[in-house]
Amino acid sequence: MQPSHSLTPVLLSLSLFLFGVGVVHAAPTEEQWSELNNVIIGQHLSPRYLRLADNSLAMSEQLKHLCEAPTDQQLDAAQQSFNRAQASWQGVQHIQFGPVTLLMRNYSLQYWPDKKNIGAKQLSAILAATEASFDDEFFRSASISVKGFPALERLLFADDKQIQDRNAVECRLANAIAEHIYDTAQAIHSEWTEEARSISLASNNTNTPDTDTEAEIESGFEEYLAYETPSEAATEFMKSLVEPIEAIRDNKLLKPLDTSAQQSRWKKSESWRSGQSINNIQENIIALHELYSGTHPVSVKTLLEASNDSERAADIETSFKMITAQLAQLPAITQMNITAQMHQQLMQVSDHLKTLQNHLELAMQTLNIQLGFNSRDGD
Amino acid sequence: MTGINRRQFLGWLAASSVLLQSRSAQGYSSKGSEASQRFASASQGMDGQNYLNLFNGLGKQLIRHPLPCRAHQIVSHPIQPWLFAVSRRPGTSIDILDYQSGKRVQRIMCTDGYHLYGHAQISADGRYLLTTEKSEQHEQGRIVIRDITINFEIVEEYSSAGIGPHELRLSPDQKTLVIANGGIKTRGREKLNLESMQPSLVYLDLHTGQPLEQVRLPEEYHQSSIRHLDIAADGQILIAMQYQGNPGDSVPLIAYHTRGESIQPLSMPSGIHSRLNQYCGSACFDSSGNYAAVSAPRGNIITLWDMQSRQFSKAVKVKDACGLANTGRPGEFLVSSGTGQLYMLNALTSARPSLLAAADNIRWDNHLSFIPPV
Repeated sequence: MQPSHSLTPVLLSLSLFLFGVGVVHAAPTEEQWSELNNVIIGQHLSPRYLRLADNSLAMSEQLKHLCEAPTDQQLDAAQQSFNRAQASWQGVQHIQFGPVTLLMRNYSLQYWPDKKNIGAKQLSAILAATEASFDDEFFRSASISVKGFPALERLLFADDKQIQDRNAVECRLANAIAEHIYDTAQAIHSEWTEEARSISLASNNTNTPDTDTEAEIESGFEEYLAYETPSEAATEFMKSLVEPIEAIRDNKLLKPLDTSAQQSRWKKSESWRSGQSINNIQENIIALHELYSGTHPVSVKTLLEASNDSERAADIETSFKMITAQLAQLPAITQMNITAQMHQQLMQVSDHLKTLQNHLELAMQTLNIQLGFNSRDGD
Repeated sequence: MTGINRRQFLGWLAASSVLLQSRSAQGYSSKGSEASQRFASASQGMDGQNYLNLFNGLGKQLIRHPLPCRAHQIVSHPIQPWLFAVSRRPGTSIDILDYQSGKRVQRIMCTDGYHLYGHAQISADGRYLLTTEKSEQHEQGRIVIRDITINFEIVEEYSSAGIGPHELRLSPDQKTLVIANGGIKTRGREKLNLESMQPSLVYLDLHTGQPLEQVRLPEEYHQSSIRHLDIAADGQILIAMQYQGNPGDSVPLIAYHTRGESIQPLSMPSGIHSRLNQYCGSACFDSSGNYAAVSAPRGNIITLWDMQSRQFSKAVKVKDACGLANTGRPGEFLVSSGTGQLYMLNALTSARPSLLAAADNIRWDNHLSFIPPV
């Protein structure tokens, strides 16, 4: 899930200039950012990666059972375990920095959107080699499009149920992918211990830039991952909060919905095979909501309130609750045709996401967080 | 464009190369102490106002000139004390500032139905301004040539031989124009043809406007938009690309080219490559041509290269950094960032980048330019 880059930051900064003159906000101190970083890692990030690892392990075990005794019941259980593991990934998908980006693990876990249908082509080629061995060497050289949830979904939810042939290559491959997902999730969770240490070591002194620490020489990942200040590390968490909103709206809603129910193509949605596309968005929003206000004793929301922007803090909280409630009312979409009513409901969700995004962008100004200039709106 | 002016332009091309080459070389060899050096960049204030900035080699601001819209590249006139702030896509104006008087010399507007792509070059004798532009009437990009001596009258216009031209460079002998055709068809800032885009690097004969050579990456990399480039004294081209496909794809982002050869991707450790986030912003040779830097602002990384061996040298973390300029000292680069900071960086030493200046109220835009003395 990648943020799409737009003029929004520029327009928002201009609108803040035009309408926000005279409002005095006290941005958080480095100590406050440091405290927030710690609670986000401890209460939000780490538990979510652990849940992804646990549910991936359960999925892997369930797939072993399926391959040993490929009954309809076992297939159903394997599919349910897939849904739980995928939901766990959706609950931490918004973290797009740190260990998950190492060697493109983020895209290995989920290569989507796959506009050129590369996953299907790669999967077909692999399945044609029935004697293939799906060991570590295979995953070192395989296309990232066949290493994660989308490939596994194709295998588990295929109409031909080929995976129920215990001798079929499908079952072996599905099993191997599930194990690879588990290994990846476990590694990311484990590596966050070091990442958290790097964040905790960030200097608190930002008033006088230190020429020795203003930028880091790359000599290895450990040093490379160092952060200069708590607010720099917090900026990564704030990007994780703000940028996914636009990506969810654009990729997960507007692209499949198109301009009308007639024009919509739900097969462009994220997990239509497993019927989890709406659930994915729910998991995303729940996670972002937690990142915003679910940590204690400090949260993004409390920092915003402490910065004299209680009104916006409340607006954001209300937006999250409203979108969560809207999504909870929607049934899973298992057929590929969208009704006019469903289209309208999802477009309303999209509109509220847009409002939420605007609120969050402005909140970042209050918090004196620069999400990026050249990195977000370059040419 | 008048016939006489066009003939004058062609005549100029035939007569000027030796003189211009010596002037071009002089620009880099005459860089002095940091305090007397000049650099320029577009910027945006925290209030959303766009500026053209001139500062010295110590990072001290000398001029901050407000602009009507966001600019991209700043180019300088080799004889007059003029800076040209080129609007970024799809802007239509170029503000020209006299940095000695602090006054605006002129604001050039594009022809109706045209817009700029943010980049320009000025011939080494100071007579011609060359820009990459988009015309509503043509699918392929345009190279528009204006005669500075006759009030910026357009004297020639060529096809860029590709869609979406972006950065361009004059060859050291001033006879060839090297153009990065990004391949992306746009409406405003909306991208319209990502599935079919065909970026290319084009060498255009400045005399005839005909392509002398056009090179592309293999078809599987057709979504790697060739956007920015730099040219060394020996004609070697350094290319910085921006990938428009799936962020998980493994594709070339930095490459070099020499005439008559294919584009050669430069390889780097996979752990670094995966952190560039498929986007490189500026490419820059050092003063010796032996070293190069390429910025990747989405990855907060500057990559450094040994261009003699064409080997990856190292990657340096600089947040939101994009602008690069060589300082006249071998291996050394000035770096600007969207966070308002300026750094000095040396490819020859293992020293950390040194902070030159920091400003809370400014965001340095994509490109940084060394301003030779006039």
